Amino acid sequence: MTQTDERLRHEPGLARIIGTIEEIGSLPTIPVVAQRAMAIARDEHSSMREIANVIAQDHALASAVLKVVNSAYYGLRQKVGTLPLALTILGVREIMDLVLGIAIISAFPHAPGDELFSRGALWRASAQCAYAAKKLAHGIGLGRLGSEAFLGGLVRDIGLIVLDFYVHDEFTAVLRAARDEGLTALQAEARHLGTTHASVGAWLAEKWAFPAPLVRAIAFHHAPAETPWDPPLTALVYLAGLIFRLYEQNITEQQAAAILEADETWRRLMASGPPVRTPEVVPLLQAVGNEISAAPIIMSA
Amino acid sequence: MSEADTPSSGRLAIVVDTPCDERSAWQDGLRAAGWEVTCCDSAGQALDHLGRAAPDVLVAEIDLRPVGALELLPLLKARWPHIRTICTARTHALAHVLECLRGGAADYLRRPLEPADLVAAAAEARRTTPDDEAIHIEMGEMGWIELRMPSSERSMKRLDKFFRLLYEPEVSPDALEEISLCFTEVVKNAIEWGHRFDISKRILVSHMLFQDEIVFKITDTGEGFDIGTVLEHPEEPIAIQAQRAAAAKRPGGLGITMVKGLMDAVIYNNTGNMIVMSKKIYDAD
Repeated sequence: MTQTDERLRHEPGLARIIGTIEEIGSLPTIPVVAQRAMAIARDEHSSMREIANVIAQDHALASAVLKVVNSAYYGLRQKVGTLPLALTILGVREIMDLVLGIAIISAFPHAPGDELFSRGALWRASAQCAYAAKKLAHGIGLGRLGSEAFLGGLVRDIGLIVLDFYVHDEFTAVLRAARDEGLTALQAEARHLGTTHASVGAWLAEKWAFPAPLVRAIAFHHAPAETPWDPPLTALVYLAGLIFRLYEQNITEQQAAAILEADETWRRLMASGPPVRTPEVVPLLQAVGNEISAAPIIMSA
Repeated sequence: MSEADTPSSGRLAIVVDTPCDERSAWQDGLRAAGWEVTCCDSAGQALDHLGRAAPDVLVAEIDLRPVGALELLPLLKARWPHIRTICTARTHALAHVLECLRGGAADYLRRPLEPADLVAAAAEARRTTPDDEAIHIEMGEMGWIELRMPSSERSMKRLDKFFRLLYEPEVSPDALEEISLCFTEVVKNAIEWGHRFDISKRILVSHMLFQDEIVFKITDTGEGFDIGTVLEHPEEPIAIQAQRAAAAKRPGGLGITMVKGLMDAVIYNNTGNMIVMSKKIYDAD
């Protein structure tokens, strides 16, 4: 049973939203380059030169890669003007992460935002979460999940983009209700749509044939305790989101550390044993905070 | 201790290859240089021998069937990590060079091979420590390599040799020499300034061959070297030396000036512990 099958049983609005999207009939397809990157990531015998050639032939993607490499995040003293230099600086893992991220973001057209919702602002926050999730993974001994955490951080809220894109008026009304009724967006979605962006995002991730752990991370990124499977990735994505929210608030690192250490998902993850290792929380939060503040804007050119 | 000072007794080599005149010549050459030599006709015979006596150096032919040097490398690494392995190749193949590097071979030698060259390679291999060989390849395919190497000059020389072997078919001899000069210069800086000769530290080396361009990225984990001052004023090396002397710093930066002159692009980060350099490559003709 897929995540969507499971949620259809409990969320009456999900079938209606999916029906509306399918009726419109133009579900974005994940770009070929992203499919190729995912295939290469899964197959150690695939050729990185092949993906380099694919990037070189996609001018928008190549420009986006150059833009990211030239961002403050990489701290270079000269401007990088050629793709071979950029790809070498990034390295294999970051190239894969970026190609996927840029491809996913470019699947949805840009749109002007308003005071309630801005796709650009969401993608910016998502990129910050992505870098935070990767840093967090490395900081607690889950470096092997770094790329998955990055992607999870980036797409955890993709359901919001889908709602804004396909049921824009209804979505705007939900956000307005959230503001007027003092609810979180998630509570307002559940009350007024009968489903949530987490479920809609998980449905799209299944459509795009994302790996099951990533689908679960999207589905449960607001409620990791509800998933009985694969807690590390779901927990990483949830915790990156929590640290991002703490980072946005004007509190001290010691206060943030106290909140993090009291969090049930953090405690469960720390208690899970090797390879997870319990870090010094304040330095970890500083390192993740640095990633959040320096994270480059991932955007298709 | 120099090689001349190294006692010749106790140096044991096993040569694994089918009997032939070349193998006999190697055996004679090694013995004349003070090595005790055992020849084995097959990998199986060599493994039997390894159960009884562990050599310093094992010389194994890649093309040996059914089991050759490449198949032996993982087993040697797991069970006899102190043995240095030299792979010989009757048939030169770039993929084999990469496999030798990945498998931890101390050297890769093309045949026909003069006994004196094998003796020199065996002596060098014997000086190599497991630390020197601990090159961890994170990504390894033709034209795209990412690895971590120990912070030692011996590792650097070994890696430089493998890079030369890998790219000599595609890069002119002059360009290859220049690239090698620059690679070793930058790695030496990382060893000396980045890691202060601490062999336990690791240098990250990324390398990419892309269409007509060869690119290297070398990163150390140290505090960085002020390459910016040098690279941004390459026309003033003498003045920079005077400035360094006035600041009680040792002479430095000339190698980086050379790198800037020989490569087409040199990029470095703000902290000075990462340098990326590229060069257009041309056919030898």
